[in-house]
Amino acid sequence: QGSVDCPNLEFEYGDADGHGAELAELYSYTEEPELSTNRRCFEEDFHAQVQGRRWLELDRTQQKAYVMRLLDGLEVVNRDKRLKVARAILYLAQGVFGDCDNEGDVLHWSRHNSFLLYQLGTFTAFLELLNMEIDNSQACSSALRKPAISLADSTELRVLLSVMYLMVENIRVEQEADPPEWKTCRETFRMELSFPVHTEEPFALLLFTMVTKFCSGHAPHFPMKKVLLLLWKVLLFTLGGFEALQAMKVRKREELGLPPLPEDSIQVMRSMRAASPPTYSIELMDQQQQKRGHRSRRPLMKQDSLDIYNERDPFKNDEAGVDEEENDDVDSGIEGELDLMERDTIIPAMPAQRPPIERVSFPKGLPWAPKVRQKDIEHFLEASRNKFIGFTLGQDTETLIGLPRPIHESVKTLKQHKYVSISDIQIKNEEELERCPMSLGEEDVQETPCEILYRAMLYNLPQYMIALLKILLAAAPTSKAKTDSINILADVLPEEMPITVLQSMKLGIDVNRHKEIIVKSISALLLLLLKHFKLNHIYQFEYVSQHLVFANCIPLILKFFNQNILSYITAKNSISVLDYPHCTVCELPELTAESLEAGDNNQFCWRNLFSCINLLRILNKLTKWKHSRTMMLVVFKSAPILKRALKVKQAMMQLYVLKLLKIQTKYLGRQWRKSNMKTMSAIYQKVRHRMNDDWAYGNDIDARPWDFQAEECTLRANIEAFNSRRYDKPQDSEFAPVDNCLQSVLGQRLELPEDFHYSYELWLEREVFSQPIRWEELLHYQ
Amino acid sequence: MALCLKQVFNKDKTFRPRKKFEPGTQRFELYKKAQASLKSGLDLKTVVQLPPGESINDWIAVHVVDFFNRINLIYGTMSEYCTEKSCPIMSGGLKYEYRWQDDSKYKKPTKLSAPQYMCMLMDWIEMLINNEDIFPTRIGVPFPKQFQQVCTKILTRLFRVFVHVYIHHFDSIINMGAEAHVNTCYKHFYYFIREFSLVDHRELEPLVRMPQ
Repeated sequence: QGSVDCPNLEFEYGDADGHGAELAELYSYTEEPELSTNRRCFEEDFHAQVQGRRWLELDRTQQKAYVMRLLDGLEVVNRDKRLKVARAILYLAQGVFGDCDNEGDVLHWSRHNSFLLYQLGTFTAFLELLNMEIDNSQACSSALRKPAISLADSTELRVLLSVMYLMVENIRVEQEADPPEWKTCRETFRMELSFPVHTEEPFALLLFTMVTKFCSGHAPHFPMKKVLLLLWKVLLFTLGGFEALQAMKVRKREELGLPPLPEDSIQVMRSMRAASPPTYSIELMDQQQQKRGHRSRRPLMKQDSLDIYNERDPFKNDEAGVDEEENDDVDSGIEGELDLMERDTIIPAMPAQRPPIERVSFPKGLPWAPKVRQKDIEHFLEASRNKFIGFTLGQDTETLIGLPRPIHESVKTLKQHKYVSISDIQIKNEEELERCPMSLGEEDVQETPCEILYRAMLYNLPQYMIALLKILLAAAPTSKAKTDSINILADVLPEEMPITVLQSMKLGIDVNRHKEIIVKSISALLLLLLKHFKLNHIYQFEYVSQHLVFANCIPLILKFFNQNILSYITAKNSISVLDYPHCTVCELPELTAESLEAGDNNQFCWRNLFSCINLLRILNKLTKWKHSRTMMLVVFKSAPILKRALKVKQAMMQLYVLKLLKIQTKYLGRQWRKSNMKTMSAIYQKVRHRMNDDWAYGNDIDARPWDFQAEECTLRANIEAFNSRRYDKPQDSEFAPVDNCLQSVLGQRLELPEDFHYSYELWLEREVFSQPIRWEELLHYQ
Repeated sequence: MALCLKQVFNKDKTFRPRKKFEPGTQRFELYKKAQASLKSGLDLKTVVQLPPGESINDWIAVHVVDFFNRINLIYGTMSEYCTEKSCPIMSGGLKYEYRWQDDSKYKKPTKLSAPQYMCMLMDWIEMLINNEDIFPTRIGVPFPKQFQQVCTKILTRLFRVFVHVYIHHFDSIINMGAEAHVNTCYKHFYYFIREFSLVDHRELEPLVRMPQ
């Protein structure tokens, strides 16, 4: 079952891995020979044009001129010639590594050339080529006819997508030394990708279409890994990463007049330390030691531990008094034990950062301020009113008459921690817009990249989600390849299958790496979409979530975690000597079976840990506050699966596991809680508390199953109402405006009978003047 | 005294003082540890009193459920140290022994190991608590006439958990640094049962030397 002792993982979560790592993952090891092919294509043409000089020696004008020539060369009819030119351009984007001495140079030139290429319109040119390739039905049909597809079938597409990816990735990542014209370049590129001018839809949509086409079986040769990587980075670029999201959220709260967030979640999570079940006793002993006030020993972990029975009122001042005298003999015994434990631990002491709190100071030792929802206050008051008075007042949270003093105090405390989310406001607004379509008028919708993306995706969104999940399932380590209807390995398998053991090993590693990268990109892009849509409008998020849930995302993620997570996280599916850009500037050593098995020196696999955290975050977002989906977690027996994931000693990953366990504990029964005290303690310590949430003691073993359908149906109705209100063309509805402008009505042409101008006076007398006006009919309902 | 002897020889009682007993060196150590408590600023003696306007059954019911939950978790924190091997019978020191009796499988008081006893006890309490006829949850539904007797029985048995934990597993509690928590919970419990006289003073004997 993998090593029991997982060391603390030094992992920094972020939008993506380091720049070099991200570029390296674009290529599979099977593709590596093509790097030389690209170089050859470039150098053949370059040396023909510019004799005796190197690219690096040309000045800017000369470089521009050469690139313009190359771009012209793309406009030929001959496919092979086009491919050669594309390869030459790819070589430029890859950093003209033939002229470089070290990896740093390669990355530098790759970046430099990417900006240059973009400024000369390369992206648009390649976009056209990409469209052509996608519509190339001949390629599709020949691929369909083949018994075994290999990476040879996606050569053109891979070159095109690689160039585009390199451009997006190089331009997306800001670096301090960037000249201002590069900064403008970045903004222009971002605009171009987010707000399409030539096409109706944003670029991301084209990639989504590729995904669905692939999954439908019509284009099995599409190189999905590159498509997904590009899609992920385009979304990251156009919508923004996690820090940008946080900033947008803060800004939006300000705009809506909401109080600021109680803490910066990114900061808090960065400073959290992992809980280590075997050293649970250390944490508590340290806590005990701190209470005794010994200064001599450096505490192991500053975070206070479980205090389930701590009746200390956090809103009163700390006790100033000294503890009662302790017997020193007793103390030394424990301290002696503390000594032993301290030597074994690797964890350095790091004080958890306490961000400044404006309103109410929350209990020391807990990283998150408690939150209360408006409806929690309402429920609490209703229950109290029922008990003490006998009748209820609906959603009133002000009237406290007739309730005993302790209830008054409770309500006061609850209100102090009330948290109104942006979603709450959006839902309320939506209700009002539905209720008063006339008086509130047209909604003023901000045209952000996110809004444009949603509008474009709306029609086929279910298909996109299903396709992404299909691929995710195929790429999951626990799935068996043969049963899948789609082949995600088409772009990694070589034309000729390996014959030697070494080749087989290499391909095995390559295939696993390929799947890991696919999981990484899908998990990251789904999380990004969910987070951005949620901020943009809650019902957009709910729409995507519902389709994910209906496409069985929840059991899929649980199935993913139903493996040896520790070995997945520490997997070594990489051959660093073959990674770009190392392989371009260094001599390739002899690969042996031993060196392949040994892998690299990393403590863990960054992309796999990243994927796991993303999937856990997605699962949290899908199930939070949704009773029906939480019950799915219980029904699928997720608790043991999630507990196993706690073995990974990484604070962020543990946090998201604990959150998923917390929402289930009240359905797991007393027996589970009794046998999992350490997990209960960790939940208490690390997860935000919701006041009045009976998570630890609640015992709803038979939660009402008949409520599930109703909940999802109501949600669906709300989502559909939202979508149709905002995005549907107004159909023949009662609210279509009537033309009552005299000029325009009189200006309309009407077909009148020929003799009307003779008989119109009679007509008027009969049809208009002698007809009584029955005003009361206005009041009759028709 | 006569009452005591009657207890000793009455096989129908689940609470039997053990025949041998030892002087209290263990008790003395206990005394020192029992000093540790959480400085909560709450006067537990007053906190347990029935607030004005509150119904006594409601008050008792809420506390019974609360103590049940908390004691369950306390036991959970050291349950790995309480095994068939370490505690082949449910005892409160060498002097007291508890036997399990219920209306289904164990009609006669039976010697069970401590983990088994705990299991039976918690299941039994949970069943009672979930029984709407005894612990009604809907507003307006009255408590049954024998409610306080049921609670007495529950609290009496819960008390035995404290006895067992304090006398046999307090060192584990200390190792976890949880003695302040357990002490405070015990104090709360003790004041509560005294306030409403819910547990017979004979049952309280094993921990009578605990400083209050």
